[in-house]
Amino acid sequence: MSENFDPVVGEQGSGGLDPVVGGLVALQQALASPDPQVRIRALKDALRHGEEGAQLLIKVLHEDEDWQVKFTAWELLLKSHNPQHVQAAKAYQIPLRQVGDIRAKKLASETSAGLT
Amino acid sequence: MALTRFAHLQDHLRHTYVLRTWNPYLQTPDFFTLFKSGTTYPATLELPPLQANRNGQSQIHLAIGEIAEEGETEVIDTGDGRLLVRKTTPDSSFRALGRHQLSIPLQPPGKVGVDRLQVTLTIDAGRVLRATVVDLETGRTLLQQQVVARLG
Repeated sequence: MSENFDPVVGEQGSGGLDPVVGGLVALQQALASPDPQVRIRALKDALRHGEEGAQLLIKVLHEDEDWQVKFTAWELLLKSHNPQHVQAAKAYQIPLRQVGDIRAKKLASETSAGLT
Repeated sequence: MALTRFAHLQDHLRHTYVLRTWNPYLQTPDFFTLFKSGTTYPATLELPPLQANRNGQSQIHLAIGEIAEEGETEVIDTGDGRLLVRKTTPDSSFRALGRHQLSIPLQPPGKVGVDRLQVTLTIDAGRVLRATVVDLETGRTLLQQQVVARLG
């Protein structure tokens, strides 16, 4: 990896005075990132883009492979004030995270507690 | 007579030109491709709307420059008599055009997430790059066909 000797501009924030590319293009590019945290940051801006942004959230909810990304899309749709978008989230099976068989673990702990 | 055979040939750009931007999702500087090498000119490009990268930003710099295609080899003079050879990255090969970057004042100051500038770039038959910039909040034209640089 090459070293970077560029100076950092003080007091201007990390982006200096450079612009941010707006519109859906930048958002779609970020959603193609392999880093789930980048995709999550992008999702939080999606609803600024109206119906097109909401459709992106619904697509991510159905297609993204990362649980946390799916959950963020689901949560944002649920919190939106558009009944159709809320319904789209409700209609999707809540993306529960796999945490193992809780009932079996509970039974096992009760059994072991009963043995002692 | 030989010349007329080439009368319909179009000119092509030799370099790729980009705008340096801040990517809020990656939290890194980024490059938005404006014209790829091989693009024919004259050409016109309307960019997506541009935004301030932080609240209260009173100006935006439009740093337009050329970059080498990724994977090309570049030679770096270390300044102490050594020359290093390495593969280019967009970041390492960025060379800004012109002596000064275009500084666009924002009055009122910019806000994060709000589309603020509409930028249109044109390259004329003489390879002169010009920028027209409209403030989307005030509706004012801030730059009208301002010469950025003559492309190499």
